[in-house]
Amino acid sequence: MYFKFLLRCATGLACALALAPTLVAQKSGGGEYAAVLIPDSLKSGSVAVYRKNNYTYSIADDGTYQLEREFVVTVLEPEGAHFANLEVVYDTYQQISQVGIRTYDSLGVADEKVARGNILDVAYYTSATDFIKGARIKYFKTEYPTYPYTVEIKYTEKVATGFLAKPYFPFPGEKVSLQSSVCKVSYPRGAGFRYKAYGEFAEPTQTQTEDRVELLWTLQGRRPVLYEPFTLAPWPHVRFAIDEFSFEGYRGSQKSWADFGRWIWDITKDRLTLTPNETIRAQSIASQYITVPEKVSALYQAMQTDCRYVYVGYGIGGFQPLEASYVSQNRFGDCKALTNYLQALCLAVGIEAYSCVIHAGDDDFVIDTSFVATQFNHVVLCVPNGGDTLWFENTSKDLPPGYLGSFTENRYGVLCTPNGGKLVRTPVTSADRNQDLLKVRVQLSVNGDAEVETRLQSRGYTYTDYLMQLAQANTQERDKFLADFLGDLPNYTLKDFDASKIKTRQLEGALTLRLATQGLANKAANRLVLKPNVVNRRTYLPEELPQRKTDFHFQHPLTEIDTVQIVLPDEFYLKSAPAPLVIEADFAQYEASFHYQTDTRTLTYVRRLVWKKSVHPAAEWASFRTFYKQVIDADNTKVVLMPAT
Amino acid sequence: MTAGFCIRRVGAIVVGLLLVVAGGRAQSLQPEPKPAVWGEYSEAELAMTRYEKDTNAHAVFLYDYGKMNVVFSTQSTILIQVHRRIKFLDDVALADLGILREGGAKFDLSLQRFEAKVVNVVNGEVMVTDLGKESLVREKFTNNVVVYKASFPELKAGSILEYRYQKEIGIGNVLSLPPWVFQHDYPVLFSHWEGKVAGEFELRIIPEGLPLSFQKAVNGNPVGSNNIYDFVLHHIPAFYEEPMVVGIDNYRSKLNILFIKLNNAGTVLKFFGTWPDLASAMGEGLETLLVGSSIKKKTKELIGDQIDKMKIISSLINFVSVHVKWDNEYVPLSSVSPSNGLEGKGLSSGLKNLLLLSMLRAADIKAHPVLIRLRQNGPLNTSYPVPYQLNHLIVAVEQEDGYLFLDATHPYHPPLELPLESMGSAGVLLDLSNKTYQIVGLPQPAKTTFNLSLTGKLSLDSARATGTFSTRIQGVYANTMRRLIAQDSAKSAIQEFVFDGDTTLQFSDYTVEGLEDPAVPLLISGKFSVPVQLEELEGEFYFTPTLLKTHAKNPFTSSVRLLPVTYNFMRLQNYTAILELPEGYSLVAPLRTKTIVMDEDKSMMFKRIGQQQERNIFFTTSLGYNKLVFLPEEYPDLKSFFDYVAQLQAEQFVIRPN
Repeated sequence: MYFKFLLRCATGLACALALAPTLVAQKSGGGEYAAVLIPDSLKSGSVAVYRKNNYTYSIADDGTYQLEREFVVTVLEPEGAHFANLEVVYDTYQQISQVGIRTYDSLGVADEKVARGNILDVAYYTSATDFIKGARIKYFKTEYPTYPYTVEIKYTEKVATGFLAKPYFPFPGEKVSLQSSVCKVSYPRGAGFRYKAYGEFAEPTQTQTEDRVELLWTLQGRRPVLYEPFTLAPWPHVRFAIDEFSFEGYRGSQKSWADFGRWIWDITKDRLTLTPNETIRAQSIASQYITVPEKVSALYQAMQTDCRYVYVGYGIGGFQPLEASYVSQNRFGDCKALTNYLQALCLAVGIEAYSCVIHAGDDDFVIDTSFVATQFNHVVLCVPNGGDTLWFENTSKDLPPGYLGSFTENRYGVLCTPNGGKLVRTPVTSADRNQDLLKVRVQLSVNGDAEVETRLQSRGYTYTDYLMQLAQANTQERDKFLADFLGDLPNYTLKDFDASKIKTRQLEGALTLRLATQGLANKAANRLVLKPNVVNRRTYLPEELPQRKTDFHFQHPLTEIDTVQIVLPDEFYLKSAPAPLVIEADFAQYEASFHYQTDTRTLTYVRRLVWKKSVHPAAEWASFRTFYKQVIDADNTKVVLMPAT
Repeated sequence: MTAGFCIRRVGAIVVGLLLVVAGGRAQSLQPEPKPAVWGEYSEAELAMTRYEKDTNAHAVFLYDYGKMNVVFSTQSTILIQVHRRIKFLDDVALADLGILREGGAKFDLSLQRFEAKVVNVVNGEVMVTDLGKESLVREKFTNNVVVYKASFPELKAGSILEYRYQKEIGIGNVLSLPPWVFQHDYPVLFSHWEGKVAGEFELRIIPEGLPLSFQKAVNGNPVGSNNIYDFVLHHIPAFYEEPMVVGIDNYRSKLNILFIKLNNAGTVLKFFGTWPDLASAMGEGLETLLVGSSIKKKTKELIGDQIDKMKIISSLINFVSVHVKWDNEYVPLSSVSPSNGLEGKGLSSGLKNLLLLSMLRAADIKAHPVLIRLRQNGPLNTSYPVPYQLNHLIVAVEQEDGYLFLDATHPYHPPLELPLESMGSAGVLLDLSNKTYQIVGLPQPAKTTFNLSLTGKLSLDSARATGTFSTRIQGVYANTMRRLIAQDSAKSAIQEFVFDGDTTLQFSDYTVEGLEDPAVPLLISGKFSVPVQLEELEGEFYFTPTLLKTHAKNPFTSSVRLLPVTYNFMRLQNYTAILELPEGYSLVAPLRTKTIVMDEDKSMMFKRIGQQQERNIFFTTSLGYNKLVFLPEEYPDLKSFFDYVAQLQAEQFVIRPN
């Protein structure tokens, strides 16, 4: 009876991932993968070593292809264990077959092959808002009791998307070295095949037969790739594309961005039809306004109110949006569907609008405009408006109309029009549009405790990404926000919290707090030691990278202006205020000044930090880091309060 | 896909008139807690913009109803009806509650009579969007699990979502029925669970979680040939997860539903209604797994001519823990033979211990399996005998004065000591030979003492303290460290446990003593170098003498606490720093000795001593955790205690040239 119960449990939904299969080991043969055979140079600084990491592509005329994957990874430390897992997402267009997994102990002696039934095959979701995803994942978590151990994984992918989007990534992550990697690509002659390597790759060897070409990349004995923060260079990989393709009967071309954008337009154009009622409603809304920006903003806000983001992945592997009528009936959709719906609303009122495919988020990913191929994960709407272009991020219920925010601004995208695609840039933001104005008033007591009043007024992305979350926060979420915002305060008790000036769909708002804090000033002998920058100290120090190779950029311009007034207790006085400080760099400017007014016993500290959007050569990394270090030191400036008697 | 719904206008209200003003502040009209009638909505429900008992709640469950109907027949199934009405107070809950997902085993789950309504007030008019069963999507989740899904249209802030469906599952599920959960992540205005169960079944209802007052509690009244269960609760607060709680889900208020037995015309089929019944079922067939010639042979090989019982035990547990692979899964039982572990195959935690049990029995040592609940999952609810409370198995060896408990899961753990995760709760001991079963208490973790002493010199030039350290650790920390050190992770174990994860402190040339014998303290000593928070201000140097960041910040930041704070074990942490000042410098004033105690029982205690002797500064702190559970009403005191500790830890020494 009990075992039947266990079986039921094993089939239970909640158990599905927890029951990720583990290994059963039975010795046979081996030796090739003994850990001792790994050169010391590859083990040093590595948590795992890829003994092999092979990709073999066989491409058909229409761009569909088969990819045979084989990788053998020796895990040296627990931190590297996840590299030995199988995690392959697949769907109707990417089928997985011939999966094989085998483990080896530290001596390279093979265990029994993992049974196919032990490999989990489960519907794949990444968010609570995924409704119809159509994707599944084959998953196997390797567990091994001792280190090092080795796992060999093979599988074949048959990909029918025609885009040939899956690149060759020989380095799967940081702290991983590579003993050997081979990438073979076989494609038909004259197929318009292209590739581009990013990182240190030699040119591939090329062999040709009458009808096919084969490219071969071979890498041997590579030390781990070091991730370089703020980089403009992509992680080492080789990207592939084929000029002409066919995808579910839709023939397309990606010879140029014009062709690529036209293909998107072609698969989208028939989905812009609204129901008559919805058209009338759109016209009714728009008729209340005069200008194009007003009309589109009103339609956008109506959509924000009525619709919500839900991923529904129907339509050519998720490339084709749901019909506008589907969204108007259901009031939900994903980024494509919501953008398509707003586009349809615009068209219904005679306003020209186009979808723009884009790579959202991920500051370190910059699309390569010189290599035409899909590099996108998101869609926004562009309204040309006679040159005074408007942009709309359609998955947010909170952003103000015409504002993209840090998720999609300041990057390239491809506008999809009936006349073809057009490479465009989304708006560039600047430091004066993104501001944090912080005012703090501190009434210090004789034992170092204090009453603190603070007001943070934010504008731009610093408001929409950070402060605006308080507009709809519950108590727990509010407390978490405050723990972060007031993290520099040792201990505090909230006395008053006013977020009434924080609203959604605005670009600016203010938070006012009143709190009591213990130990704001530290006791030291008979003095008090105090950091005038009470709540806004920078702590992040970029790592030292003396061998940095890639250029870097600073993506998010911002102005911070803090004014802190500290009223001292009668029993203490400030002997001398710190000298003013200015730190200049071409990417940022920092100023701090201190003024003590004896009669009011008030120390006023003013801090101004401006980050500019900028791009820098790798050689300037050390000075970039020095600036951060100087700012951290300056933010931690202390003053000593001496006893009055 | 076509969406099966239509939108209807069903009436009109004037929302603006439904706001009342109380005390100068507009209050949202509040619906009364009462059963929902399908498709009928009160003006208060429609107009509600805030739930006054939790004004920041993103949504409120206006009505949460479940009914279980169990009929006795040869084709018995369990029918579960669900009817829920949710008011969305802002946009935030849309992502969480906007898609219904109901999953279960492919072979015995059927979802029927699904219908839903989304209700909005648009320009004073009540608009209802109806959905039918055609809106349901059935998806294969795994080979054995299916999920029914529906995404609700027209859902937005202010909407009311109402849905109901009937779920039919196989009668076999009486053994693993999910509880009725009163407390969700959102407040619930009215929660109602009913059961109508054929009289042939005996059922027990076991409330669990934070105590709540029932408005109605009918527990098994016979009506006709059925027994009736009926529980109603009003105004149930949202369940918010909070840190530092062991077994947090045990605190969520719910009704556990336990089928005890089936009485069919005098023939009684027992389920898991009592621990003996459950133990009997779990022990069934276990005996046959515990025999095997390979086990006997290996046991003989390991113990040779040894006759000392404790030496035999040590030898066997050492073998199983170190040489038999653990597959990193905590599973109490399975149908696999533990002898597979002798062939190099990985075993689950339970199987490793069954192998140990088999070997002990092969060596003529009386031992029994004990089913337990891992410590991190919270204590075993002894009034609730269900299998899924038990997720691990250990071994009890009979002693003259009780039992010696053994756990061979982890390699290199001190063999006769239980690891922390197996300690402290109760277990179900299965005496397979005598077919008797008993609840046994497991050893509690002893109070751990931890002493760290840093002796060195303070350099003003480099702003570092450099010298030697020595640590003396006893109890749980020591055993965990012994295990990690034996697994070749000494460096990271010392960084984590000795230096509190502070990676700015560098250490070298360390030695470890007391690794083998858990009865003696673990001693670790070596050299260290650590940056000191040191600043020159107006010709004097200010520095924080704690050297480590321990207790520098209060771990409790939230303003309110609903769940108890629970610690895993009691402990005393002592830190001492002895620093030699640079020549020519002296202390302006020593730090005063301070002692803080949290209450009369000294549940928490902190003491700091700071003094100077010639050029040496002595700085000592002691922090004692003398209680394991702090109730929510004690939270303000606990928070204040750590506030004060952090404040004292931040006090600084001042030194200046002589």
